[in-house]
Amino acid sequence: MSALRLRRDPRAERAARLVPGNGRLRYDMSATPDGPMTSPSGRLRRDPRAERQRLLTTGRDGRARLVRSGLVGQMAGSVASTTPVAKKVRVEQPEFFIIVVPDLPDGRLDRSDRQVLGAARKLADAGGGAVVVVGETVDEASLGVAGSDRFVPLSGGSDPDTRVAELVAVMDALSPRHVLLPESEEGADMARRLAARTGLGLLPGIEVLGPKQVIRPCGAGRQEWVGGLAALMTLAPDRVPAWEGDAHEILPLEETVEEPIPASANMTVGAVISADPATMNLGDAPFVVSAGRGVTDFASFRATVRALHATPGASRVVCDNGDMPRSTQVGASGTILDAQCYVALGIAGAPQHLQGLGRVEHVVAVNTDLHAAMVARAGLAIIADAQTVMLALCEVLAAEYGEKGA
Amino acid sequence: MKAVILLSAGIDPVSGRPAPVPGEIRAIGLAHELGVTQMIGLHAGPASPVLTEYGGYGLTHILCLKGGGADPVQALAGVVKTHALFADGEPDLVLAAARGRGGSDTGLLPYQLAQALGWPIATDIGAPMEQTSPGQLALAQFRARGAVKPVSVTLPCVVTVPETARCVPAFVFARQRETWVDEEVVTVHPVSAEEEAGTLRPYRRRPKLISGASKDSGGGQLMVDPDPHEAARAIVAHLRALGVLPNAGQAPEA
Ligand SMILES: Cc1cc2nc3c(=O)[nH]c(=O)nc-3n(C[C@H](O)[C@H](O)[C@H](O)COP(=O)(O)OP(=O)(O)OC[C@H]3O[C@@H](n4cnc5c(N)ncnc54)[C@H](O)[C@@H]3O)c2cc1C
Ligand SMILES: Nc1ncnc2c1ncn2[C@@H]1O[C@H](COP(=O)(O)O)[C@@H](O)[C@H]1O
Repeated sequence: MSALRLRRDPRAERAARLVPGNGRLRYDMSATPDGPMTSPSGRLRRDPRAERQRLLTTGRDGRARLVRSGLVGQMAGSVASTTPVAKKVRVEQPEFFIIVVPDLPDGRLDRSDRQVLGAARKLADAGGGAVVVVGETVDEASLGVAGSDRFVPLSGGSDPDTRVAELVAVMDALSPRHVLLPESEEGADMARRLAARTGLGLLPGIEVLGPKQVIRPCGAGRQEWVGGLAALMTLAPDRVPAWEGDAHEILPLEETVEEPIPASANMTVGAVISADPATMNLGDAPFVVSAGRGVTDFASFRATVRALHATPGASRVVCDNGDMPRSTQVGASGTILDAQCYVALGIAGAPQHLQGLGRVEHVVAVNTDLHAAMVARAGLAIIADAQTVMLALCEVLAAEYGEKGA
Repeated sequence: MKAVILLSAGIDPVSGRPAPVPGEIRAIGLAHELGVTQMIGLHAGPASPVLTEYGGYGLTHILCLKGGGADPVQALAGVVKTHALFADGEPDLVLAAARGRGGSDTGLLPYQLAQALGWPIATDIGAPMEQTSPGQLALAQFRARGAVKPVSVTLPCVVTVPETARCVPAFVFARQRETWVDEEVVTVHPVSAEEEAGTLRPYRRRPKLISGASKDSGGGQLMVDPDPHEAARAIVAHLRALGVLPNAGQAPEA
């Protein structure tokens, strides 16, 4: 401890803050004097404002964030990666290839495709490999962001066996270490066709993927199999995260892929026919409009459902009253929905009813009671009488479709 | 038509006791709907009492291939190709479940069998469609959300049936008692395939990645006592933003 304490000189401190100018003397009291400020006891003064300014960064979602753990540099890096910077990862002389066959619904990578690419990236980065996407045409920029290094286009016929032949040709040319597919409807089918055709080992529905071992359920879901990786693997959805790192550059492939010999097609698959919403199974329906006891005018309810091209549902009270058939009941003792969107007209939202909304993402509620549980669950809540809203909905939809359709 | 239904030794997922596989029960129902007149159940493995339960669903003759469990593909293909399963000729169809229940549950066996027989395979078939040309089979492939893909395949073929198919035949106990299960000894030479070096252990449930989609549940937009038309337009705009309503330009049939 020093016995000698520095004396403050208030006059000199004040003079240091003097703002130059003519006329009256002005002092800027918020300005910090040159050099670090010391307290009368000789300790350094903290400057909270400057510290805050240093910690301030812009987060991924664009909002201001304070990073207190000293990771300011890394934060800034991740911000840079989300903005399109020309710096991309190039994998030029890969040790091996990993082939990914995404589903590409509507020509875009979907959630499970990205997860398979994330898994492929993980396996490739462990040993300096490259990820090759094989599929119908797709936007290359989104492929690079998802972590792909090469792209091989397929012709895209309707016959699965022709597609398998093309894939086998690509596999012959690249001799990949692994081929990864999503365990979705199309991916699962393609993986098994490939396995039967090539005789390679297949591990379907993998839940945990590491560089050395995988885990997959078997034995009616009561057991799991743990073992090494196989040549062909499919990934269960939502198990492996998608690629989050820097975008990769799609480089042209050096190997040439032979054209497969056309085989006689003895199977054709047509285009998807979606189900009629009015008659489809409630549990499969993507869009459900339901009536509760707040609905009294069932003729206009049915007209609204038809106008919205939705599947009708109901709460238990409505089914008990006989206003709607029992098969339309949503809830714990009715059907559990798998819908994307649910419109609840005059439904209070009892726990037994809300159980039926298990996986529903978006809810629209129309109710006269502001404090109903369904209103709290809804992304859009209308506090109004359901009867008038249904009539208005029919009119609005008739006006939109009627004029343009006729 | 004559059909072979592949039966595996399934277990119940809850109790773990032997039980029929749902897809195989539906395969029997699909065979009925396709107008199959003669059918026989084939199981590569020793006979077991649970197989008679399929009889209750209408499959009253079952053949077990004892000793075929080592390489079921080879055993089944050999029997379908060379064995006189039916008095008047070869089978036109082989039906199987899309996934087994209780074994490795890969769903690979029907594909391997189709490859071994050189037949086409139609997968996830839930119902027949209107038949158009002879020698071809028009089938409905079941997809998520009730969608259907039309599949046309030349006979003979292998067909797999998913658990979501709705063609469950009625169960009649008297037919179960009438069922006769034959056992035949076959010799297969299991290919000296590299043994899958892995271990089995009880299943452990692991959390899935959280879906980023459910962020708008709770605390959304609120309109108190709006004009009904304004409310209706807000609903239509919201539904359209979610992509569940077709755009006004492409007017639906209505
Ligand atoms: C064992 C058990 C199992 C059950 N299983 C189910 C099930 O599977 N499914 C199910 O639905 N229920 C089930 N229930 C019943 C459940 O508890 C509720 O009773 C039921 O869901 C309530 O239905 P509701 O919301 O239509 O009716 P109410 O609770 O009467 O609510 C009506 C709502 O409509 C609003 N309203 C009134 N007038 C209007 C108007 N003019 N315009 C707009 N809104 C208006 C009210 O504010 C209120 O919020 C079960 C109950 C039990 C005990
Ligand atoms: N040992 C077997 N004998 C007869 N059919 C079988 C056998 N194993 C599997 N199958 C059939 O193939 C389907 C799929 O089985 P798996 O490939 O084990 O998932 C089963 O549902 C059966 O229809």
